[in-house]
Amino acid sequence: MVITILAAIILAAICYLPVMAADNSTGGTTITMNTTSVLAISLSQAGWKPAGEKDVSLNTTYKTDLPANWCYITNEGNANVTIYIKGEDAKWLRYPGQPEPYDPSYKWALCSIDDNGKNVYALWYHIAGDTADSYTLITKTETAMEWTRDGKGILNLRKHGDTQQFGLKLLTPTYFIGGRIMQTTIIISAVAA
Amino acid sequence: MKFGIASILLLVGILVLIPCLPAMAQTSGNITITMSGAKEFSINLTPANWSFGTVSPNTENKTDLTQFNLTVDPTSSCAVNTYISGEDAVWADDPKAYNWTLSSNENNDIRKYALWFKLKDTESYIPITKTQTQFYSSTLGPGDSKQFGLKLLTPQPDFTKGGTDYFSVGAATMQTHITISAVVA
Repeated sequence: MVITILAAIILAAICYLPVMAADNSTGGTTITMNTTSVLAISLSQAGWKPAGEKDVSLNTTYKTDLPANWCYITNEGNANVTIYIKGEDAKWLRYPGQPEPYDPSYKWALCSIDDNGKNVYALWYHIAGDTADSYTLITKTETAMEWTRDGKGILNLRKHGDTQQFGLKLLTPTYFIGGRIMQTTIIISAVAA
Repeated sequence: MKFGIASILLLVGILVLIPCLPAMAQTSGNITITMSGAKEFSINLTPANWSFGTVSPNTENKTDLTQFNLTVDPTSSCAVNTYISGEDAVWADDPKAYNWTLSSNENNDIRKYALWFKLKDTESYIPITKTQTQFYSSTLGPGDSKQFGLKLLTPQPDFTKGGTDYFSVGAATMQTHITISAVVA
């Protein structure tokens, strides 16, 4: 009899269990759409005269007027891009005021070891938001631009309109032949990240 | 020896019967069990994921009208009413950085998209908004299923380059979610 009563209680409890279940149900579908991509960047500056209209001096450092905000790099496309930078040797363009032919035999080599020398010059960049007065060397090897500050990493422009600012620093050679107009080019490029 | 065995059996018999003594004091007992059957149900929407592929700005994209299927579980114990709702679409890589708002008036705009559904064998598309709207005009019973398709109108372009329209994020995946809810009819 006792066993019968216990069995009845258990059965009753089992019958009540479903009543505690939820009274609604949902189903969902995740919808995805992919977008087309285009790569393009622009620079707000096309040239820099480190000493303005004056001549540069031997073994002298020059910085852009705005050390961190001189030039804007803007993502004119929509791809997530990594920004790379490289420099080159400075070539003898001509004598001032004269249409002298370019002579490739004379140049200032772009240093690769963070130092200048005889007919060897150095270039650096500083990205806005980096540690004050911290600069990264520009070499002839294409390298991703990056902050020196820990955790900031390389420079990516992830979507259309994203922009970043930077400035330049130049150290002239310890010796050069004066009176010659020297010209170099910095190439900044975007590569899909 | 026989006396010993008889004694043990007698003792065991007494011990077994002691708990039963109160029950044996009456001739019968009644237990009334009362139960209310719960309205149990569940629904299943398939597929769980769907991609429109690569989409261009300001364009309509449609799925087949049998692409999606809603089923009320056959083991359900009641009929249900069904409702559908959508969400804003977000950039899967960085949802906070870029999104498309789901239109509430069937019009698209810059960073605003529109979504509709259409049941198979019906006449027109019905807008999906962030507010729940009726999915099927009548109740659905256990085992019932409804096939439907979606129509997507992408946002207007964020910018144009070389005569081509683009969104601000390229080679990106935009992701949204539609939900169908069922409640007891």
